[in-house]
Amino acid sequence: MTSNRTRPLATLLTGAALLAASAGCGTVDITRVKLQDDVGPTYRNMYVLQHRLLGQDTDAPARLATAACAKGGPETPDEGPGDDWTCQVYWPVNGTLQTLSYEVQVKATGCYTAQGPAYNVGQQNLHDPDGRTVPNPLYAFDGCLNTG
Amino acid sequence: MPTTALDARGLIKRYDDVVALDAVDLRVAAGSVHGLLGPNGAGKTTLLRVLLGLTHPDAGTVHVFDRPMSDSRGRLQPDVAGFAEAPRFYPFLTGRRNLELLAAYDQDDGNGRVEAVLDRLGLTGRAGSRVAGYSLGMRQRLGVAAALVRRPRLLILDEPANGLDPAGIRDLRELLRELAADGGTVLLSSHQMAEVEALCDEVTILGSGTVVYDGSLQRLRESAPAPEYRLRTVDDEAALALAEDELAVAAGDGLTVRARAEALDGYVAKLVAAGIGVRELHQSVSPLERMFFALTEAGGAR
Amino acid sequence: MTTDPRPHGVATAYRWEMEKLAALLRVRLTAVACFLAPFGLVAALRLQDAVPADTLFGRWTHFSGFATPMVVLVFTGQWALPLLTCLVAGDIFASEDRYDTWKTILTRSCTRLGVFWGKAFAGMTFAVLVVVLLALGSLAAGVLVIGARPLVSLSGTLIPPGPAAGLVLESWATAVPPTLGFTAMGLLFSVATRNGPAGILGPSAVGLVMQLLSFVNGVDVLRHLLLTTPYGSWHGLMSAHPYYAPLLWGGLVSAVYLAGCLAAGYLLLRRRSFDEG
Repeated sequence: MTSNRTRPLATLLTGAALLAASAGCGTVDITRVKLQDDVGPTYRNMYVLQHRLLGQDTDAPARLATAACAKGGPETPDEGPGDDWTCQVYWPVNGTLQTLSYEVQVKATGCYTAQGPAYNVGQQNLHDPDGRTVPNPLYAFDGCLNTG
Repeated sequence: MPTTALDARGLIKRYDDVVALDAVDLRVAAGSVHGLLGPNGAGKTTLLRVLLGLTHPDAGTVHVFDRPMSDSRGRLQPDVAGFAEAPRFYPFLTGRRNLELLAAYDQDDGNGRVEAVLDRLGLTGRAGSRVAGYSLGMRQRLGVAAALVRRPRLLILDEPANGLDPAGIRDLRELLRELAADGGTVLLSSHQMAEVEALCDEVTILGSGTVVYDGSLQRLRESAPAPEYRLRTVDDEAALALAEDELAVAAGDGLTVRARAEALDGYVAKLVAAGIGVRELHQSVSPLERMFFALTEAGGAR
Repeated sequence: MTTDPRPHGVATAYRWEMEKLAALLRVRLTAVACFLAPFGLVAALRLQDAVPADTLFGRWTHFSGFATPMVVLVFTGQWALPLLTCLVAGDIFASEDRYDTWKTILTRSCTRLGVFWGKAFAGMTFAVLVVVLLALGSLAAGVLVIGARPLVSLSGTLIPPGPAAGLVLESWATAVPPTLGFTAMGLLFSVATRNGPAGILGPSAVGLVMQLLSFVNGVDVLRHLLLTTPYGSWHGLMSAHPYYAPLLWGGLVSAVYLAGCLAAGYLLLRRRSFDEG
């Protein structure tokens, strides 16, 4: 009785496992290039947002931020999720290229949290011109990579 | 119009090592109230489940009014209705809502029909209450009502009198007689001979998964052994001494007498003549019941 | 063989399944809770300074009311939606076993196919209802309690209130396919186990295992085959440069789970012999 009832369920699970196995050796969802292509522009947008929250004008939208990311030590391949990613964000400001080091935690979902260097980006919260507390966009920001 | 309402042949149903039905044949004449008798465990309910299309038999066929019992999509023929074991309903819906649901499942609007059967079964007063609050007898009556909503030509009922009070039993019998008088056919299952005796002409008796008797009650009655009486006298020992041919045996604080009417009359007359006062005399087991026990106990059931 | 002119009774079974569901207190309470619980969450968030910063949009919950429905989507998507939908789907077949009513409905004129689809559609209707109520409840709670300020996208851009509301609802809509997948899994568990609690909790347990599997490194292909992954397919909508590949793939994966579980469930029900109860 029981085996009769559970057989289709087992078949289904086996089928799913086979499909997974046969589809194997696929691509890697989280790569260095994908991450730095997302972290750079997102940093720029967060910079713009920070100024807007503070009611300040900025020429930032016209500027381009680039990032260079690496995972773990030299032996670690620069791919896959982990909390040992670091991204150097290069940000042209006042004629010089500012370098900011972000610690990036990438989840298997492809979403990441970038934690900024406090001495460069300021405290966790800001006060806008109306005196309200707002999050500092550059202190830490989230993003997601296209893993499809 | 076919003369056979139900024709089941060679039904076999096994559960692991147990043979619940062992080549059972059952033929029910149209327009009759047919009794299906058997002690608990004889296979009555399994047979009814097969007849209602709920259980797949391992072998055998069932025809209803000369057509296969279920259609190509496994559906019960529209002119058959009934229940096996206690009828069940959604406890959180009212009795009326349950019947309306079942009428809808019959692809029938059920309008008017639901009210009519509720009234016929004496349930109108409680039709607006949730079935959760129904007594066993009320659920039983709702079960008969649910079957009648389908306008069946063949009604299959499993112990319908269960939980009914004497008035309820009387009303149910009257209802079934009326259905039969209108040309309907009823297959009535019971473990009590008295129940079947009151309604049926034809019976099929099951014992341990096989048919041990199939035919008229009249023929069964004729072949039945003498009935059993319970007798208490002023002096049981003296009374026992007067009994010939092991007519009477001692049984607790009285005697059990197995005799046909003439023999019993003679014995009582002898007791009175001998000055032994008769305190109590009643039939304890009817001849049909004795026959029923004899037939079904042989198979080792009960 | 002649074709049977009488319908299977899918519409009839569906209508009455819905009526039976509406009569159940458990179902009504779940529906009400889906709409009202986000208000409780927002009120709790408002009372404290801390924000759920480890959740996407979490750091913006005090800033924009549109972050609320997104946080609720992230919270519920992975574990609550499979459980919520299976409150109905996981019990919808098993309840007939519990009430012993299979014999009552299967001796009428609806086919097993009709009864199966009636129940399946009722379960799916409830699944969509749960998603809609959670979406509207959390959107209303955010906008009413926090305010309709622009939403910060996953790329750091500001989305004005009107488009933000639209994107929030679209994001919630992407939760429908995987939730339907889990609904079908609940239906299958319900048919197979004939046990309400197993049907309700089973798919959630499967969902949990899938989440654990998704954390295993180096098996990205497996991740794409899990039914929990499509719950993140809205990420592409909240990007400054929207991408839809995960959405399409997630829809396909959900459809495969849906079809597989429904087919298996129907075959089980069709073959079932009602020998007891």
